[in-house]
Amino acid sequence: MEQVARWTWQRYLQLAALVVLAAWTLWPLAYMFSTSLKSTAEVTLNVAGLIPQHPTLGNYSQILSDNQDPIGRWFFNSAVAVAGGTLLTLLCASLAAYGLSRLEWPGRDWFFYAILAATLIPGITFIIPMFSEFAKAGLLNTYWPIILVYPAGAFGVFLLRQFYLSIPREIEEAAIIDGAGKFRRWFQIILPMTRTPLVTLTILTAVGIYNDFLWPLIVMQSKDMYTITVGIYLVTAGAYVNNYGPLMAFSTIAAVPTIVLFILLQRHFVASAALSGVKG
Amino acid sequence: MLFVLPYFLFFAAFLLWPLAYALWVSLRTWTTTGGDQGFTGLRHYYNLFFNWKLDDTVYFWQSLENTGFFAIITIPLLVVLALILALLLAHGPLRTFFRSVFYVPAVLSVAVAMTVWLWILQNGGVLDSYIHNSIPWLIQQPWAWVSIIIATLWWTPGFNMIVLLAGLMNIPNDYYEAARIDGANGFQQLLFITLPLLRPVLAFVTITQMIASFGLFGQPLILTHGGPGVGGPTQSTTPVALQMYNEAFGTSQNLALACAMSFVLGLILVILAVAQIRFFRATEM
Repeated sequence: MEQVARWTWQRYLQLAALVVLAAWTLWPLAYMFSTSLKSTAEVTLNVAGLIPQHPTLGNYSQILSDNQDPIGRWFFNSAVAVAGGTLLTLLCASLAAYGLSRLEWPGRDWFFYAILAATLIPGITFIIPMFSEFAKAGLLNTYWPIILVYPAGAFGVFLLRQFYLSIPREIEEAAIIDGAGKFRRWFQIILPMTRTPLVTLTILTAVGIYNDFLWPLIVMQSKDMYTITVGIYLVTAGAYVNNYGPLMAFSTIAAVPTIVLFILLQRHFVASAALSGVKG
Repeated sequence: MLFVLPYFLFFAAFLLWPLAYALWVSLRTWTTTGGDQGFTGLRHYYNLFFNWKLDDTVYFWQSLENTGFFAIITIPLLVVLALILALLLAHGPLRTFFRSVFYVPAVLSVAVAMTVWLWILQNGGVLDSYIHNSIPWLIQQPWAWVSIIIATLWWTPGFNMIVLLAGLMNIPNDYYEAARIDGANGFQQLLFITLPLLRPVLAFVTITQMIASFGLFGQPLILTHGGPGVGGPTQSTTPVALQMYNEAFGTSQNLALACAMSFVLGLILVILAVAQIRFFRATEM
């Protein structure tokens, strides 16, 4: 039971601290958006002005019609990676979580500990050999590397296993009596019962893949195959270097999908982060 | 067991196989463009540890030192900052609203977050025009590190904050009631109730933060291009991840040495992670 807090001076102090920290969190984003609406002249003349004197969408139309740096194509590439990688991750993680929580088989726990141990090895250890792996297979600069590597992550398996363990045995036993096989039990009982963590995992995986930077940077070699994050890095150092109007328009466009998703589905972001901590 | 098979295939292909493959390549002479030129044994490992006349060895340890420096500064800062945010939120006003605000930067990619900071810290950018002064934020030390660290502190505390907040909310209110009756003040409650009960969550946050901090890559790549420095591939903010990338795909094209570097780094980090787990276990009361 939480009591209704009284508005003491400590509480006002607390509120003040929160407001200051919130302002610090939001002001770079405010500048991102406001600079994206300034003309080239105003960007240099009115650097610190938070509200553009003559707001214009010129930067947006410039970057959207730029055929040298095809932002539409980059979005499409990111979308392919997100769709393919997320789908595969969900499928593999939910199957594996079921096998690791509801079924008995020799070596099961041993396998689980192996996955657990592997999470301690930092990602950069794998980047270079994985690059060679895809180079050898002739799959660099294709969609395969930015789809296939993500399902290997163990986070989804841990997350779903937690939920599967909490489902009472009796529910499945009833289905066994009715003659339902393992696969049907997974598909018709377990999956529908764990819709919320599945949605959480979907969002987290999708955002993670969308935001990934190092891996697509390494495996993509031509401009038309870049993802949006790699594309932004490219224009920052290339065509739009020091031209912050268009650069902030780029950033805004790239940031909008995840920020909107976050605003709409915050509880899933919060829940998954919280769960991962409790597990640890 | 059949159920685990699809996951296992990916696990084997992109975790186990790369590890084995990296070990195999690191024992051979192998360049990115020239391919496999035969077995050389532990030559690359010997070079990394003992042959300090080799530029690549010097650059590797220098970049590891850069990443280590960044980690030593940012791990405590990001854990403490997140803890402060979580404590302010835990019983604070408008909790849900502020929690969402603080988490927003964490949903951005490193490319977006750092491009925004590039504009803020640019010569003649937002910050310079605030203070009516020109500070070489990105092109001179120690400012370059200050910039990278500030931008990181802005970008990433959200995840830690939410994990710690969930941990705080799990502590039963009765404990605080009892402490208050015994006359404990706010600071004593923090020290003797909150922190000890938060230990497992703190351990988790610290270890994940360590792995994240050692993965430093995008911030210096975008903000400082690894510089400033006096020439040479290794400059004052080049992190070890970028150095390995340069080793394999830059001028030296030495894939085998880059694999050996991956291995040495992986080993160091696993040792550090295990040491931390032990530390948090050992200090348990």
